[in-house]
Amino acid sequence: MVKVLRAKGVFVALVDETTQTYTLEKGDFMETVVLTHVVGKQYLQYLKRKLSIPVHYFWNPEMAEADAKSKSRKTE
Amino acid sequence: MTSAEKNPKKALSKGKGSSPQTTAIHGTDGSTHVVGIGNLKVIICQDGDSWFAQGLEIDYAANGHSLDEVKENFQTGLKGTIDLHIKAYGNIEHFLKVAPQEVWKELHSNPGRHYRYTQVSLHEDLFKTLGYQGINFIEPGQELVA
Repeated sequence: MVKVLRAKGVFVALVDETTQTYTLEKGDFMETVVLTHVVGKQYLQYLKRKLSIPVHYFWNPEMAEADAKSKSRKTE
Repeated sequence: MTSAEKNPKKALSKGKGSSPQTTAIHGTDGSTHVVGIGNLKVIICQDGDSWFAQGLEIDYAANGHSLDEVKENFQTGLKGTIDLHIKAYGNIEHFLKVAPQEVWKELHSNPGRHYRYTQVSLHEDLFKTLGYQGINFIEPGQELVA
């Protein structure tokens, strides 16, 4: 989850390890969230709506990382 | 609308009929911020193996393994997000966005549980409370004054 968010340009910082509370920041978006091990589809849709991250990336984190790498290569 | 002593902020939406009005207040004395969110409508529904909570008058959502956990995560996250916005902007205006129409429609047609949520939180501006004035950059050659 964190890997995908970071690969898609979201600044992710751990606030509390015991509760798994993180801060997420990207552009105007700024939220404190508790990221649980199992995340439902509705919540992924919420993240998609707010952060423009395709839902399928959360099932295939490698795709998000590969996409981020290819974009960085194009800009080089 | 309720108001704080200083710097009161706006209400979010007007209730219809007997439905309680959702309010958001923000008061500050310059170092401590009091934020109250009143009667925020939150819809909670089961989402596969987890639970999902979505605020309607404020577009904020949380996830959890159980009904109790999703409520707790929503409260923790909302308070933390308000804290972030106060630290970044000094107010909560950027956060006061209503969930889009499609979210209202989708969740209202869903047989989820509807809750009204109220919280009041204190947010200290530690720099001002402790009298810190940020980082003092000292250039080489400058004398340190004790």
